[in-house]
Amino acid sequence: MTVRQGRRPDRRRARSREAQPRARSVRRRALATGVLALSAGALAACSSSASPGPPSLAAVGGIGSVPPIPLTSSLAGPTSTWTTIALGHLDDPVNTFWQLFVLPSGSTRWELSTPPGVASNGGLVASVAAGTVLAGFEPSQDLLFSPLAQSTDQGASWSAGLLPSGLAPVPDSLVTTGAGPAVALLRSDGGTVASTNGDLSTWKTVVTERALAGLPATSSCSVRRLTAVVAGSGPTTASVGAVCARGGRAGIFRRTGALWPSVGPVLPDDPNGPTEVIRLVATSAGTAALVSAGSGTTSSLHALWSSDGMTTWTVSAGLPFTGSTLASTGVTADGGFVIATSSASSGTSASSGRGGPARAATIDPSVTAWRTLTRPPSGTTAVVATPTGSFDALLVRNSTLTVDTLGASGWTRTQTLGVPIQYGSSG
Amino acid sequence: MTGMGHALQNNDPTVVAAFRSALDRQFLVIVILLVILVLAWNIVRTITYRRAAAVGSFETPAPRAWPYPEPTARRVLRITFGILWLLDGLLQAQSAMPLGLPGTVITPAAGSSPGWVQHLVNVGTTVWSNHPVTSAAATVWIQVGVGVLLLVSPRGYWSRAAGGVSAGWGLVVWIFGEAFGGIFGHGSSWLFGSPGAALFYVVAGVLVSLPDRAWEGPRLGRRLLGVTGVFFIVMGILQAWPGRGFWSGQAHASAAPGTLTSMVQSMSQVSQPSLLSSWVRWFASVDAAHGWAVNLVAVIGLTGIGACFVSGDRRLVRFGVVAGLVVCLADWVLVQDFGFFGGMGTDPNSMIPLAAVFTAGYLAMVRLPVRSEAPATAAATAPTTVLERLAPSYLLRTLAAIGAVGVVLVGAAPMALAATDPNADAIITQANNGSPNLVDLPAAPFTLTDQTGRPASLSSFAGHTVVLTFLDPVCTSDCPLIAQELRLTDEMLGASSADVELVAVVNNPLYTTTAMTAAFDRQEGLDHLANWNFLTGSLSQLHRVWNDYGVQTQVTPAGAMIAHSDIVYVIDPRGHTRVILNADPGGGSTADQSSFSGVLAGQVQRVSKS
Repeated sequence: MTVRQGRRPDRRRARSREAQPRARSVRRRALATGVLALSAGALAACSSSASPGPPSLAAVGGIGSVPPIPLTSSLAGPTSTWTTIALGHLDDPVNTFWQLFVLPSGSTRWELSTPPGVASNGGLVASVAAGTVLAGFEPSQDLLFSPLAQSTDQGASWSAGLLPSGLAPVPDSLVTTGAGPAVALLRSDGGTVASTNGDLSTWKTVVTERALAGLPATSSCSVRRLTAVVAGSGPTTASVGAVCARGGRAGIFRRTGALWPSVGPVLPDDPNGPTEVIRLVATSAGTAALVSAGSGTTSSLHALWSSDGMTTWTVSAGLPFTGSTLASTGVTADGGFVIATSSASSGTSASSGRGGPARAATIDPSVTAWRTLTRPPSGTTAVVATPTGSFDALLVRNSTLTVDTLGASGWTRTQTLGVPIQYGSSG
Repeated sequence: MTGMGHALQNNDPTVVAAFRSALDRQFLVIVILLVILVLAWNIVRTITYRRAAAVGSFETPAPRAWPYPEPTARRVLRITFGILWLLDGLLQAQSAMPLGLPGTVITPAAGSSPGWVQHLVNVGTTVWSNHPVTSAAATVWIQVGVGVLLLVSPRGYWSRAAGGVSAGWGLVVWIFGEAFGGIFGHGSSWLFGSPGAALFYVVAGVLVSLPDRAWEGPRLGRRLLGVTGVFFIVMGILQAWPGRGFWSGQAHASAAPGTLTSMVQSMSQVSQPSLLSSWVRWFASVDAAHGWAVNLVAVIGLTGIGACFVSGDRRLVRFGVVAGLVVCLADWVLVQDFGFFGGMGTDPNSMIPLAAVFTAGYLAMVRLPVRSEAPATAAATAPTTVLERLAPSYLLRTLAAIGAVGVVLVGAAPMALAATDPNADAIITQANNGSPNLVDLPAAPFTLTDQTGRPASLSSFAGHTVVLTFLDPVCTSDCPLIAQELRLTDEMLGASSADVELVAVVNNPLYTTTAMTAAFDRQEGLDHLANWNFLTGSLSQLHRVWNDYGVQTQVTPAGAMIAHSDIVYVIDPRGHTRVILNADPGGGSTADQSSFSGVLAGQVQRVSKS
């Protein structure tokens, strides 16, 4: 209404306005143009800033520049080595199929041992103990909880179980102790540790990330995320690994009654810096952990070992970790670790195991210093330890897994394994 | 088989056939309407002739005398946009439109827009996706009707109404079809069609709907050119803004191309005559090599043309119009690739409408209507009735306008009706799964265990209509969708669902425990549904049921889920199978689910009543 009243006189004076000096008209137009130009600038600025970018590695990894934890992983024991790795069309989530492979002791041939019955597009996690393999499927698409499969005959047959929610997407989110209790790290409530007494369908909550972060014992760490779990001696005992935002201490917490004291050692890099537990496993000699410390250019990897129930630790020298992304982590048969990295600039996705590692390194408890392995073949997805102590480089190309074994003369191709992937079977 | 479900292809034969059939039916209605209008014309003319013969005077009434002919600028707008609407209507008749428009045209257009825009656009997309055939056919006739209405109505209320209708429908297209022309998204550029072709249709429609006196002086033209000029300058500044990728071409073959290079390269890939393709490819190579210079030319061109328009000086404006036409033509051919080649073009993009608008602005400024010197003479004998006052040409145009409005209504009425129905049409399920198979056979009995561990058998459901399906509790795609479809069916049935039992039988030979079925129920929110039964049993029991109901189950290796049949049986209260439906959830969209649930609910009601 107001606008109309304001315009009526203009309409009546249309002819006289046409005769007004042009300078005024031009000034007004210039003003309007200026206002609109500023609007265009603002629009353009918004347009530029609104452009979504890819998530940074720091965002994926958690705090600072701690490395993201790859799901591609392996566990070597005296009787076999198990590894989980993604095959298929890795740029298409519904055609990426995670597989479980086993290398029995005394054999040089890897075998496909993926438990059947569930789509593995979301990822696979495996735990091995006392001849039992427990595998968990990460949720994918519309499946929100994690089915489990357990085998006591090297994967020849499987029995089913399930978790009440999805497994956390880290290698040590599922732990079996053999025929007895099992512990799992779930995604629910920001991270929940649950345990079962052996029935793989009934789980009880042990602790949540929120509850743990609220305890006085963890305040110096400032827990950000739970990243690993290891079973204790009983069904409700467990230890967890976490991302600590500060404190410079490895975020390892062991359940003692209702308390969760911090039992991780202080790392030598940065007394008040962030740390992240990447692997936390039970070994024949006790407990081993792989921990990153520091952030950005000062980031480094340490291996830790404890043989007295996590009271004292042996801390390895740091492996500088600058400009690299972890591609795979593995536990060696003697309780050491082997890692493969890819250069961060190659834009690889560690969680999907893509890209060619720039280097591989290993460490064992007896030496406590990292040893760089001969540079693996280009395109290597994972480097794993075999039961006999040698190393295999696994390369993925769509449905084919190729294996190179490290010998005295370097890496030699030893196996090419075709995997019968059912493309399109997940929609 | 589960997991094999895919979204319907744009050229799905079932939907295309239904679309053609709908167009044919509506065309028949339009033909009947035209016949009626021709008969009306004939009757009126006959009556007029007989009355004239009765009084011995054969003078036809003179048409209404206008003080001046239709202003050139208005005529240019009316005819140009009439033709454009007609062309758009014909483009809407492409067979891929019913299924393709939301996913191929609308959703990408809104992709980079903020959430509220996407939400608004989603309202329209949902209506279209739920009623693809009705919506696509409606759009054809609405646009054809608007085009005809503009073309046959040069003056008077019909003509102004045509402008209003054109502006109104243009606004609908601009908001719901073009997501406001992408002006709220990032990466918008005049070169690519921002702020959306439909906005110029709206502007033209508003101009045509203005009263005659608006066209009498040069003011309208000046204002139109002024606004257009500011628009050009704003677009020029936007084009020059750093960080948007327009200043870079492509340093080398493996380097990431600049924004314009990338766009033109993609346009050159679409299916089109080789001559046009070669032009676009040539321009892509020029921009790749000289991206900075090309953008500089674009920025100077846009701001220069805008400045000419804003100046209001006749010579500068004339220069600006010529330059604008050249630039628009170049952009239309070399960047927009005529707007409708390849893919699913719905209009010739923004350059033609924009050129028509500023050309009309120029004509409105320089070609003013000239009033005729002598006023129209009154007829020798004053007419007494309406029929006698009707000039033949006026009658013809009026009937033509009524016909055009009729064409619009032939499309608009079913679309309005469909928009009120929140459930998707059955055609989507028919395309996914074919028609329901109607039978009358005794259903095979079974006794299994429900999710609470209690025994459940077919006979325990006697007196209820049973909807029976087979689901894998750890399936990642189809089974959760089918479960949701059954839940939606239950909602659609309302109170009558009390007489219906929803029964699923485990269809995975490895994950069979009640813990699995209970977990699935929790996941899908089915654990509180009173008539939901997820049954399992021993492997031998399950195998027997699978065999009895013809359900295939296959354990596949290497991380694939169990492959099994997607099927639903409707069993009547007597225990007879009455309907067998394939239950592939297709792409799993809301429309897919709603369509299937609607069909299933309809079949359940039919079986329950029979």
